[in-house]
Amino acid sequence: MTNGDVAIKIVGLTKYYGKFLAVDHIDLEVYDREIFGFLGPNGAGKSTTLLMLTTVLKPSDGTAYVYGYDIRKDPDRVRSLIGIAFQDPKLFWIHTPYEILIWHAKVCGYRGAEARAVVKDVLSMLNMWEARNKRAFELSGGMRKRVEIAKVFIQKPRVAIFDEPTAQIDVTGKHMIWDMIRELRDEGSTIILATNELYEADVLSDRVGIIYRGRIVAVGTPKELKDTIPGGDILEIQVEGGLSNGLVSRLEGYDEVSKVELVDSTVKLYLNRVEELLPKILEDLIKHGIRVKSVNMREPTLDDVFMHYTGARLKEEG
Amino acid sequence: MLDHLLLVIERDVRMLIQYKLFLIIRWLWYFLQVTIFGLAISYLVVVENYLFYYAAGIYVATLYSTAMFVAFDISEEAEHGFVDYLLSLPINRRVLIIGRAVGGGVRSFLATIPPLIFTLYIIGIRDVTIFVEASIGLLLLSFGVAGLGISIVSFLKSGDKTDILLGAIDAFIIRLSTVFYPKAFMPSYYSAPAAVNPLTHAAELFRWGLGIQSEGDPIFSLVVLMAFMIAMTTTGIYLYEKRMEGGGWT
Repeated sequence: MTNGDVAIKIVGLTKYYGKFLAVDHIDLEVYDREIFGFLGPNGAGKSTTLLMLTTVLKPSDGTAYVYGYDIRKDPDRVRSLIGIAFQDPKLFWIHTPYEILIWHAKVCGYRGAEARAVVKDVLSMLNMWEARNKRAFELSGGMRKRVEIAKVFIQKPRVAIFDEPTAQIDVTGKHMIWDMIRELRDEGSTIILATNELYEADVLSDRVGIIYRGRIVAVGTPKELKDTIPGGDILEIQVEGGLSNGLVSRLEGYDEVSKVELVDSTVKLYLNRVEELLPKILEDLIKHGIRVKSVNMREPTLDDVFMHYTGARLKEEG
Repeated sequence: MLDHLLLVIERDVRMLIQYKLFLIIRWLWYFLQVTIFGLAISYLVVVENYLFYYAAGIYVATLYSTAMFVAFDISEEAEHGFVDYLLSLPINRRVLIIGRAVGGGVRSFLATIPPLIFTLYIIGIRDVTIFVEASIGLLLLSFGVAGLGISIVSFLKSGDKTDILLGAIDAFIIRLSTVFYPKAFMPSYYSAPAAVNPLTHAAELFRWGLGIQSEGDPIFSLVVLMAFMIAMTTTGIYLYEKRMEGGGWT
């Protein structure tokens, strides 16, 4: 888990492609040893930001510091700390996964038998050992993606960047890769996870930054972000015989409750921090002689958070 | 840093070896050029031992076009987005580009060993030391041409434009040199550009190394090839850093 030290500090980072503003004066801090989810639809500026962080692209304005090293002034030092698995696998068509990864391992400082051992380990973990001698053009999309992310697991950099790591990968593979990413964080890497998959960002990220049209619109833990939506939690309580107007007014009186709807014998509350408030509400109802038949509660998703901050649905945008 | 340089060179060398068909075609092309075309022309021209002259010249042309192949590799890599990967690696950018220029040169030298052996077989070597000195010139030409290829592809940032321009350069640089014919037989508007053409200096140096008729001063040719290599590698580093890193590819 993070110790609160800043691993990456982004200051006014901006990128123009001609006249098109792809990344608009981003300010952001990513903490040491956290998994930071970078959430946004395709074309929001995620990949451009990551390419600037890895010194592949030069910023038009602003800069970023990776463990204190400026991406503009110390690009060599930055690249020695950072590793990236690109959104589109970067495999030269004629090479095999084994050749690609052995060369990559050597570039990352492994030698001879050590390089062969680490490549075998990582390819085996990713269920790619059998396919190691196929040429890149013979691999399926999911297999190529596995080879791409294998590069980061071999490198074990201080800052590991995964751009859409589980796109094109089956459900079992996704869980395996999420476990490997968590393990990498536990071993000391800071992780940036760029994704437009809400569930992935939710289950994997310690904090999430939402990027939309080149701007960071919200940053926080998934829970903090969900709690910022007024009345984002929904609590449905089915009772015997309905509720009096006085009791409805009493429920509306809680600070966390934004709205109460009564439909037949079901009361629907739009509120925040439902997990803290539920015991109090139930206690209140029981105290007033109301018999509760069932309780159903739903927290907002990150898509609701995205909708709240941008007015758009992430799935539609993606 | 040296480790990274060697890894970049090794990667480029291995890349060319994987294009087996390309290499076999190059070797066949060379063999047919010398045995059919060269032999036929040698009976038609007044230059003494023209077959030897032609075989040495056409070897230099083969070396040139093989060295230039690094530009096509980079162009193809860029179109597949592979350049982003290379730029993201913990390798100093200059080491990366110098490695590619040297790798492009070394591999073209290695890939043209069969034509070289065939050339030596038909011409022979009179003095091994002189031949080794001449070979250094050929290596310098290879590095310089690889640097030229990197410069062109980085400047144009387009696979199609690179194909067209390299085709045009290939047509002019080989014909406006002494690869096929001595300067004495050229009109002045041909011989002036030929005098500053690195292929002329490489071809003359190679012929000198083989002990057959050659024009010019071998030391001067070596200096020209050294200057060509330094200029092209420096330009390649500058353009690759400025243009490739700037993003975008058409």
